[in-house]
Amino acid sequence: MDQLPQTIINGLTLGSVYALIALGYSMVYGILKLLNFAHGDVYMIGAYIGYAVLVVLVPSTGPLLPIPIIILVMFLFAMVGCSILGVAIERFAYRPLRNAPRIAPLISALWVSFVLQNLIQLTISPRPLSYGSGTLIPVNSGINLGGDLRIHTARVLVIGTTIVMMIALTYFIRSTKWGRAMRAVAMDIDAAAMMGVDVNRVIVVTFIVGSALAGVAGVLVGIVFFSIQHTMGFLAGLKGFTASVVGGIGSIPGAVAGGLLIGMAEAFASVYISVTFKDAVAFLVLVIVLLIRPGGLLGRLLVQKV
Amino acid sequence: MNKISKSLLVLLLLFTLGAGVASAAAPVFQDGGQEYIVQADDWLSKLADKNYGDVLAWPIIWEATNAKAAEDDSFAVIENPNLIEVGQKLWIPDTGAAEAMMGDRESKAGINIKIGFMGPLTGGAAFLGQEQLNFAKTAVQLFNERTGFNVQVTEGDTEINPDTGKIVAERFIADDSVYAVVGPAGSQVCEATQPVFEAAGMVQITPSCTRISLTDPGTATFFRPVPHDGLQGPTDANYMMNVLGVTSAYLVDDQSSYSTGLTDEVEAALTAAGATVERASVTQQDTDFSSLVTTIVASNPGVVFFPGQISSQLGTLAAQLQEQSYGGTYFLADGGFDISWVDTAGEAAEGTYLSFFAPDPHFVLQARDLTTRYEAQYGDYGAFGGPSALSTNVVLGAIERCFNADNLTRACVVEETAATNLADSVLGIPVSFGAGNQINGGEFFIFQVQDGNFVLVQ
Repeated sequence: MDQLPQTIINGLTLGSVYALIALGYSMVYGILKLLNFAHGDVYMIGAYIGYAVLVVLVPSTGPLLPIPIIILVMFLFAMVGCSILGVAIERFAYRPLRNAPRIAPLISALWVSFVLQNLIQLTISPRPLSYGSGTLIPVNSGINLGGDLRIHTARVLVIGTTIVMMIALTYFIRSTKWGRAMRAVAMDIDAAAMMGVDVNRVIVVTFIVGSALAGVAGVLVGIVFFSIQHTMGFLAGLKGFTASVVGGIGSIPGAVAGGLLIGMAEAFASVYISVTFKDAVAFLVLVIVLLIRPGGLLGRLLVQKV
Repeated sequence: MNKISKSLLVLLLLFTLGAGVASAAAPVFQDGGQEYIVQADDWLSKLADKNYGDVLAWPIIWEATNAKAAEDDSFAVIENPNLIEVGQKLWIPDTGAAEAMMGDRESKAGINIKIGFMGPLTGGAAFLGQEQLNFAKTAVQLFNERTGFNVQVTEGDTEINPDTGKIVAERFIADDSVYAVVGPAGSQVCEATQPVFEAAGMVQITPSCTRISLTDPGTATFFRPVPHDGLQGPTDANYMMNVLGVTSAYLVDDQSSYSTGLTDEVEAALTAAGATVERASVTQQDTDFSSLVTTIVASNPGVVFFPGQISSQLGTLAAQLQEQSYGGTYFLADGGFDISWVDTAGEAAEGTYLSFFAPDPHFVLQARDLTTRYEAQYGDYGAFGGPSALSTNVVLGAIERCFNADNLTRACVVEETAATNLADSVLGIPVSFGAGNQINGGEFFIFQVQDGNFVLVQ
């Protein structure tokens, strides 16, 4: 029983990362009805950008700036870099195929994913790189919760950043002009265009926001789990995609709920069943949710008119 | 200590001999060439230019001197042609002999000989495959320079997938100029390709498949110059129980054929000796072990054993064990012999034990040429390249012997590889093959991480 609090902490950390990735999937799907399989690799690129900043700002002689500033700069560069990448992917890989059959942009997305992975392998290294535990956040730092239980500072950072991002995103979607335009485009792309919404711009903004979140997720994973590799985007992308489907693809709160549920499922399966079956349990959750609510937890089931 | 004093003695001997000959007036002529004592500011290509008017003819002097040294130890043995020392005695063949040797080298260079390399060149294990490939290429490069052959390396990506491995194998077999194959990595891929090469009668020599069954019973064409899990499992278990004195262990494998095979061996040995053993599996894609660690900490075993191969995973597990205040010992296998995970884990890596099948090329004197060249071309390296270079050298030696016997065929290369008998090698260990074409001898070394470095403890 005393493993319960630690398991919840583990699940929350993992779930937060999945939620950040799931948001990008969900937003793009909501607007373009496109499964952006390159999203996991955008997240991977974010982790590498964070690593580059880390190498520059923390030479072997010691950090050049206070640690919180360095972490902020890492987030900033990863967000900007990933946004540019996301926009470029949309412009060159998806927009030319906007009116093509739906399978075409899907193939295009897979292509982008392979290109990004192999690009990193060839230009940087196929070896895993390390953010280094203890470089940014001392291994023994954290909040004591009584007894042996302790939340590591990096985990606080992950969960905290995710909450901040969620609040900011919700505000953005609910209360800004761009957010309203996004909701309109998601509802009906043609009608929105007729009402004077610049659809192309809205799509670009969607990719900027989704990719920036993926960039943040990449840096967070580097900080909390230390190591990054060019293939890390694949499984993370798969989990993020699962999370967005569990939550109801296209739904923002759904993506968050889905991410947390998958993360928790993995953590609890690891501790109470066996670590060997954690992925199986995560995907089992997907099956069960879809059996009970085919549209996902918070999704609406669209009736297709023929 | 003994070795050092011996080499000092040899040096002294060479020096006196050299000085003696030098004072006994100018070069001594013998049939087909002349002796020459190295002066200050000499180098081989300069000597080649002076004697033959061709700076590119330097390998002749190198080769001829080494050949002479084999019969007459007053001649210098030149291991590194870029480094000759004042007082060394060289043999400079006369122009006729040099032309014959040059012609010989040219005819050798004209023969199309290839070595196939197979391994994971893309995907998660690409770092391992690329390192093995580049070490094989470097070994071939040095061999070509020394002998005048023009051996090429042709590569195939197995993606650590048995089916892809078979396709690569068929491609190599279909190419008549491929005489031997180095690789693959991953026991499951070795298992799949072993019968394919056996049917084709072609040498396959693996630098990193350690599952026992591959050489027990083994096939005529499959060679393994590295020790197998059957030795490693008991070595590890014995060290844990008798030296570290633990009575409980938590074993974690990464579901690869290598990792499960070795974990099985350790589990069997520990159970037989009466220890309590728990076990779990992760995958090579996992980046977070915190939930696994929660389970481990709850049962608080004396040692956590993780024969993982992805260096970042080793660091993550170490750091997360520390994060959740695990108090026991962390024990790794071959994959742990890579300093990059120690950097990842920082202080969490201190005190970790690991067992490894080969010495670290960084510290092996005989590997100096190889590693210097490798570093200049490809940068830093880990622990998997050494055995790959060793494997490559074994088959290159066999190919050379077959060529010299005027019988360069795949069948001959198989025979000659089996007959390999090296007193020394690029990894500083003797190489010969016993039953199942498994290397004779071969032992595992146990290291501990101390102050961020690997220190040999057994």
